[in-house]
Amino acid sequence: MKHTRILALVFLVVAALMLASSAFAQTTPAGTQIRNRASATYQDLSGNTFTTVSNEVITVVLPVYGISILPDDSGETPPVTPALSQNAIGGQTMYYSYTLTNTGNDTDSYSIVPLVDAANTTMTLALANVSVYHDVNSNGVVDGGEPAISVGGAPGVLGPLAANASASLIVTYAVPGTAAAGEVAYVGVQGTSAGDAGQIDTRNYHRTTVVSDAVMTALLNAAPAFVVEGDQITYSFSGTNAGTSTANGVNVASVGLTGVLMYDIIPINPGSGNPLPIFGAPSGFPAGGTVLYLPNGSSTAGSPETWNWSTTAAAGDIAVAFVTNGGILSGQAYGFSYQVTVPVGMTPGVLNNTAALAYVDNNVTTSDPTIVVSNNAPVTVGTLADVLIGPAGNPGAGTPPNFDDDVQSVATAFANTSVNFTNTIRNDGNANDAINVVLDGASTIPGSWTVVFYQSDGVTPLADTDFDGLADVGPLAPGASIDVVVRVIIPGSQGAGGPFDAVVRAQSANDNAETNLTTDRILQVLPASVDIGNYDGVSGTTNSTPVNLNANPSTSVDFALDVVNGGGSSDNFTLSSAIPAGWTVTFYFDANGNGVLDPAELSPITQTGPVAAGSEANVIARVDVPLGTLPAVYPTSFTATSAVNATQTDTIANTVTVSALASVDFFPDNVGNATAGGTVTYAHTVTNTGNIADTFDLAYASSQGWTYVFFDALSAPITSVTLAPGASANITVRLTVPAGAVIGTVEVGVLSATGQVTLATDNATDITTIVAGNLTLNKSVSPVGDQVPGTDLSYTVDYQNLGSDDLTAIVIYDAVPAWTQYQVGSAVTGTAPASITSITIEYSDDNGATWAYAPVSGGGGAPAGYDANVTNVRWVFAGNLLAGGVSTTGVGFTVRIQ
Amino acid sequence: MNRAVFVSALIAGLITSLAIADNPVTGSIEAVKVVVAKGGEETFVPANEARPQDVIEYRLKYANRGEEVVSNLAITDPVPAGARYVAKTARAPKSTTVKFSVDGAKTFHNWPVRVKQTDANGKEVWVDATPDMITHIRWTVSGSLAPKDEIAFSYRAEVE
Repeated sequence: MKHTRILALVFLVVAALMLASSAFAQTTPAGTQIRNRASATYQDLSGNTFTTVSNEVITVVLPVYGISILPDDSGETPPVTPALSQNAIGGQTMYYSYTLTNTGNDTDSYSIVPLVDAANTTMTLALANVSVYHDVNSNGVVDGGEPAISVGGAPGVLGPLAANASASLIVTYAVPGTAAAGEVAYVGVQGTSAGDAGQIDTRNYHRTTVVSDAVMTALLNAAPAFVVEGDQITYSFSGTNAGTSTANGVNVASVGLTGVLMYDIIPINPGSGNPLPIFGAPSGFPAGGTVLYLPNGSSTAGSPETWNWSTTAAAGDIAVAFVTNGGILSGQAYGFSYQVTVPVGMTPGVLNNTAALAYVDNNVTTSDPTIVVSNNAPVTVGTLADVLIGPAGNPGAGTPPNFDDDVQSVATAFANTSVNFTNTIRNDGNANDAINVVLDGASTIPGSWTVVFYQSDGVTPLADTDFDGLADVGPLAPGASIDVVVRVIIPGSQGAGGPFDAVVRAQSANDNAETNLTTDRILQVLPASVDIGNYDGVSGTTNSTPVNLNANPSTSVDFALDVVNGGGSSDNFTLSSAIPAGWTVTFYFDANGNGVLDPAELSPITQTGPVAAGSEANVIARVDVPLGTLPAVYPTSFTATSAVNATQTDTIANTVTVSALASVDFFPDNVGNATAGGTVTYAHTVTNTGNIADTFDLAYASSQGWTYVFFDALSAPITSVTLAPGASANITVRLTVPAGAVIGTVEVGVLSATGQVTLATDNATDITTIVAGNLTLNKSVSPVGDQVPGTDLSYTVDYQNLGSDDLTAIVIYDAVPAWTQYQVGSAVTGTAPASITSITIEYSDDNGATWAYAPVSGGGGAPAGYDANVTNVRWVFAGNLLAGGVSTTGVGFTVRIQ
Repeated sequence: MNRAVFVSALIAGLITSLAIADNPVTGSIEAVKVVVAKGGEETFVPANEARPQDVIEYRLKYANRGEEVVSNLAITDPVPAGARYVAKTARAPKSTTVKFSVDGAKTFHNWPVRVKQTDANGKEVWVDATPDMITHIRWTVSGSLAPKDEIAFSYRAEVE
């Protein structure tokens, strides 16, 4: 233990010594949790900043054991420089003070045994004659009640002793009464750790020399044993000349005085490095002596009488002394005492102090002066906790004496965001303090909120460094300040209101009763907010004026809407509407924000998607007005609801005006064949596509002057249909072909429905080609049913001769339906009875006027593989269709729905 | 894509408002005890327990689990209470700088950090900070971190 040996040497060279607690590096207490959690910040592509924290790793500190007994000797046998050295006369009881320190990091006990270097001890002294006591009050003598640790040379136990704590030991024995001058004893003390038997501090040999001369004892007492700042410590040095001769004085040259010099280097405040200030006037005895002071900056090298002592006190004096007026007689007592003040803010801990005296003996063979060192008189400086917390940079804010009423405020904050307050904490105590940061019960923030404490970097959460269950700032030195970030997280569900207070309590870990408060206040919370209105072409605002759009039944109108996020965080808004029964509304995202529903935007939505705070989403509400809607002004309102806070909604109340509309639809046009003298029936639907009830007269115009008769769905003849708005009637019309009509005649019948009141009218055209005989055609389509645009429809016409005669020169006509395009190469001849020798397919691009057209892919602007020019297809049969003859598979072709 | 960050008006630079956001980057930290054999060869055991003067190596890993590249990644680790930084043990991959704070993460500097001290004559002088004065270590990644990429850092601290 090299460093402790150096201390022991210093011990002997100077008369007073501060055994600073830092002599042993403070180790982390066993059981401490060393906790580490890293944090990171980064940005995404959009430049948004994120923070993330890692897991926390915890390492538990295991116990280590250690022991130090001071002072040490210089190591030789016998030691050249003993740990301590006293002169004695025969029969005198000797007291040697040692300090044992637990240098481990856990509580420990020690086995203590005295040692006698028998080989070098010349007086009659056995181990059994030596005892070791615990000097509880550290006054250098064994007082009544102070326990013996080791008696009769047997090991005894000291402890338990907390980590870093010290205890004073006294090794005591009586010099035999028969001891003669010159006899010596080398006695030491050994301690062994109970926690780790390998931790031993041994030797520590002191030397007792029997003299026939002056024997000066030196005891130092400090009172009280426990102080706090502002207290006074009284150091009392005392002794007696227990020897047989007078102790002669030393010559203190700087003041020209000669006497026994009792002196003490004043203990240092480790926080400031300055000696504690002297309080009042030191005094000493016997009378006639003089108090001396050693001014600040003086050297303390060499023998103490050579130091630059002064009879005048001055601020910063580093030592105090009392020089007697001449020698001290055998049996004469002496002493001096002085007081020091414990400065404000003094570092807590053990304040050690050892005084000494210097005299000249009567033995010319020994070197002079003789220095006698006292025991160590430790005083414990208590810990004072004093914490302050306040707004950033101002921990002392608030009204004395409590400083609890300081407030910092933020005027507004949005729901679904967090507010960071910086608070500054200062340690006004005198010890390192792992000050806890706690949300105080006086806070008025709702329970749904969260408050998190971070280090000043704003990303590392405060940890519980001292394992007391509360997050803290880590050890904060006396006088030091530290910033903490108090993050108040406002949930999205928070409505408008305020003020809300997060009352933050700084609480000393050294004294839980020592607290200070500060208030971080949010004056007003702005909730999530939405504004929906009509499109205004300006980001972040809406046109709140209701808009009316005019619409006819069976059409749609588009309302361009702006949805503005008035909250403080990104939000997503659900869209809803209030519209008349039977109406439908579909919302679309107006991606380019032009207020118009563009083809690329035809994907329905139910929510706006994320909208940044303060930004808007442009949407289109397409309202379908049903067929038959009566003329009126219809309220159509649209509502946006916040995803962050579903109580936050807004509605724009628009209207749709449906005007009176007279309209009828006569559908479809038909194409068919008939035989002379036969009939053909076509199906139609008449729909009142207006919104006025009316009776529609049915009429026709025949190109051949032939007769049509209308029937209702029940096959009753009719001449008109009465339809409510939007209503339809399925009717049929029957054409009677006169006998004798020439085969190949084309009859064009233009049918009309005309409102009696509204005069709305619409036509349908049925084209009938007169064919021979009893040929019946049966047309089918695949696939059947409603189809979407782009679907291929394959038509097949099966045919049969129902008559009793053969049919010749058969031509089957078919038209390409409206809104379809002929698929090139799709026309087929099917499988005809054997009597049909061939079937030739011909095409017309002029509705059957000519038949020389040859279909081409892409014709008439159709997609590849189709020809939009083809209007009609016909199959010209060669050979006879015998009576009863029937197609195996009919003729046909394929079209594509546009 | 609910990642918008909204920053409200700053109040005296001390109060900020942040939206609450998802986190594509995840970080982990591992503590291992450095065991040095007689030949100087080092082995590592989990640092669940340690004694004073034992050396713990802290290993940090950050991974981008999102689908976008992230940039301006900065990792800060406080040297834990009860331990002191061991000089020249902070390791960083290429394109990463490592800096140190002696003032509780207020400022970060290259090694060695210069600090002002009062010498025996009461004069203020600048000296190199000792490792035990280091309160925080920060790694700043100059490039970006692609999805599925991982980046690792380490340093050592001695139990006090």
